Amino acid sequence: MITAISYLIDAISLGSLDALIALGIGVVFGLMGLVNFAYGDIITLGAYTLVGTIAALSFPFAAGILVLVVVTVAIALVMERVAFRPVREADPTTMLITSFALSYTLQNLEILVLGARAKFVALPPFFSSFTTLGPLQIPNLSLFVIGMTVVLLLGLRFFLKRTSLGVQMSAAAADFAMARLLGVRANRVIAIAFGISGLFAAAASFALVAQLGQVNPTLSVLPVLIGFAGVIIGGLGSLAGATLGGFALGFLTTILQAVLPASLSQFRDAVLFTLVIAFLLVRPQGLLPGRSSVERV
Amino acid sequence: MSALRTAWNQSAVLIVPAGLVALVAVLCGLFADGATQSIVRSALIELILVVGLYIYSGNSGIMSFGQTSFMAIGAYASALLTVPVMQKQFLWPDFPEAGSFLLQVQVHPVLAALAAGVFAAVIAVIVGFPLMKMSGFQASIATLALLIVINVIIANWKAVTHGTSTIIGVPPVATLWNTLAVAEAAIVIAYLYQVSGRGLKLRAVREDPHAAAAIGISIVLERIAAFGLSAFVVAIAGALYAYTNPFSSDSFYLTLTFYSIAVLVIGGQFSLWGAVLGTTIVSTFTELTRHAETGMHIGPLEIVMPVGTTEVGLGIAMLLVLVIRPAGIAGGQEASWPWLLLARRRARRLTDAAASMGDLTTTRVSPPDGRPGAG
Repeated sequence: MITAISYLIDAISLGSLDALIALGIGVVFGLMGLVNFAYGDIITLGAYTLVGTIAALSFPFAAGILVLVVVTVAIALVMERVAFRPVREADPTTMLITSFALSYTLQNLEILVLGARAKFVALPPFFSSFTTLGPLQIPNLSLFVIGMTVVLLLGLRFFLKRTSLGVQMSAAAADFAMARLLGVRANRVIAIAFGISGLFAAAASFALVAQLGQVNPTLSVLPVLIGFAGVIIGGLGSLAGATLGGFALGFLTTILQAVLPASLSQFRDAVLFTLVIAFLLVRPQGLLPGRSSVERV
Repeated sequence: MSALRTAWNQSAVLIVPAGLVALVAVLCGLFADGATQSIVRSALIELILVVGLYIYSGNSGIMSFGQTSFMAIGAYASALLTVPVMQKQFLWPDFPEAGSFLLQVQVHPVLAALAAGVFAAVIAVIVGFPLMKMSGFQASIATLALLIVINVIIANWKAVTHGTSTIIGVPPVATLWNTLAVAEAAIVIAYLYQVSGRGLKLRAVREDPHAAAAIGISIVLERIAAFGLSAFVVAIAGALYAYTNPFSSDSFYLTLTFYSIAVLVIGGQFSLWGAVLGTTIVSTFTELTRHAETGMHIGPLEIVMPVGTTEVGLGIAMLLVLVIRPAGIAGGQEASWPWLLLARRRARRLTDAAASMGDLTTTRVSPPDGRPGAG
């Protein structure tokens, strides 16, 4: 029972991280059909920022987090302006390849400037200790990641439903041309989508750094691939779908970790991605298809 | 007579790229030193990979992120067949019982490469059945998933692949000349495929899937055929890689995948000429920057660039091409005889001049703005 509950908490916490990443990708995809490979590099650069401010410049923790958020949002906005605005009218595959090229450039730039070796950081001891609940020991980090995800999800929902800009964004995601005719400014809503994705990237950066205690240029490669899978199995263009897809993958990863025999456990990611492909065949529109889901031929 | 002339003009599509590759390789083979020759040999192996990727991605319009995994399969399969029997016991002590006869034989490298190609093609056809049902970027991401799955399997199935450790002991039989021969063969295969009925059908699917399906083309079948042929060619590039360098599972992962896609995008994804031109230009460029990374002398000037400049430069070049000229340098055009190009340009200039004199210029009305990015 205790094991089951601690697995459940692991699953929810991992699912939260995957959902954060999937949402950061999904919020941009829903609006402009861009699957952003370079999203991972926003996370990685954020992680370097966090490690740099806290470990190298010995900022207080809260200041480090503040700088992290400012930096990831700024990177996301610059990325949109410099790399993606020029290809906005292109087909989704061209945009996908553009983001792939951007990701490769940034990753190698990180190696060039910061070196390929990992950089370490010590976060406040709170994040590496446990909360004891009767016989149950829950890592504080898991609780924190779950709480952070809930807050961000509620915040995003509030923004989309209750603010003028949020409603404009939802409208543009539903029908971009119509929204523009009604006066929604394309550049503004797309910039805001990127800003939100930058904010979610900051949260993911923090969670990854806190988990690993270090950062290296390939830190976010696998989490972002899982985030992609989350967006796709959730249903392209639907934010609720991306959240659900992220959580589903977090659960699946934890289940595979628990049930695969030791001799097969290193094949976990292979099994995970095979299941993703299999799922796409059975239900190509995803769990909760959005209105802009892609036509299949 | 005019049919003959058309055929002659058409033949440029094959002869110009094949000739360019042969020219570069033969010049290097005759005049360059050993180090340069081995660089050109590596570039030829990359060319085979890119041409193989083009066979699927160029004709189908779906960028595959998974083709390098067939290169890995080709390299491992040919290594398994060509390593001397004595050394096999050390490389694969725990090889599965069912396949142990493979450890008792040593096959001729050419035969091994062909077998590796066929093996990869069979795997491509099997995984193609589910993958090829998807379209567009969804298919691209599914091929990326394939790359990850195969890499995880190779890195962890130690009994068969030696894990992440380097495979050594494969006879280094690849020379500049036999690699050139294989590269030319790959270009011919790509050409024959794209002018064949199958190739034309797949191109029809690329241009308009609905219309293609309506005239009875089986979309999935045509894609699977191209995927299999592509895997065959790419796996042979993998075999040649194994006949050149020691390799491990990391040799055929994201770095090489990116490189091959960058080359194809820069050259121009939709034509054979783009694939060949892209490889020629990019490999020349990367070789120059690699030299600069170790220190290059231009007259009295010494240039030293930090390690990693090559990769960053390649990424930026690809971004620039995507923004400025999304169809790549070749722009989707096949190669043509140079004098025909000149004649065409002169004709265009004449019509332009005539148009401006007769004031026939028309203002283009741009279509109303739609949803960005939506297909």
